[in-house]
Amino acid sequence: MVSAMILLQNRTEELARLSLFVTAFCDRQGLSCDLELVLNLVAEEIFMNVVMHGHPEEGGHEIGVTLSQRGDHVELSVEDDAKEFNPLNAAEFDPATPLEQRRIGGLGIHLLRKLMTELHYERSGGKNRLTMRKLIPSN
Amino acid sequence: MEIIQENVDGYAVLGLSGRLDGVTSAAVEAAIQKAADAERGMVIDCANLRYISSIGLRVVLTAAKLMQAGKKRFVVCGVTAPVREVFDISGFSKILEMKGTREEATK
Repeated sequence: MVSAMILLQNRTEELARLSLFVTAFCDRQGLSCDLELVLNLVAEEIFMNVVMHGHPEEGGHEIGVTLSQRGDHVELSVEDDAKEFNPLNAAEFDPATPLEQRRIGGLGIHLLRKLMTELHYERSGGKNRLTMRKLIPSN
Repeated sequence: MEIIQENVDGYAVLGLSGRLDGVTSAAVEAAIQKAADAERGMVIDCANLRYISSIGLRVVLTAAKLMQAGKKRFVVCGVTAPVREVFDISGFSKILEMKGTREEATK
């Protein structure tokens, strides 16, 4: 098992560091470009969700992101100290919604559900922890 | 993120390269607002776009609605495989006009 962790401030600019962290991990582990893009996307969705909705103002909080490779799975875990929020409770989004009826929101969690194999939410010690696993494609 | 804007036959063509994410979305949205007065419509050329997140998708959606409100055309062209997957999963490929090249888009 190989694992890497980064602590980020709850600021939009930190997204650049998050992206470098994910890319470096994938390079080190020899993971494919496609998988790297998926992990970058999923990490951004969760991170931006905490930055925009978890805390009313930017700064002063830390968001921990951990990436691990366990056997044939890669695991991404995001931990924050914002108010209790389980994104997995969000209503299922319908991708067939026509343009006129499309509204902001719901898209991020829909992408997580489609791109990752397994999602798990836990609230403990005053923290939200979302853990997502994905099977590494064998080719 | 680099945004190159051109006007082709009454269309505002915005060529995006790099990442359309939480950091770059505001700049792209500003460029879209500025280009919204194009006579016939807007084309977003994604040939050099290698990453899009849900925040980026929202910017694309804003542009589509803006054009729809003005009864103009809105076309996305040149989408490459990884970005295409995100467009497909979110259903955007079905609700937006998608073309292969900017030549086809401005026809």
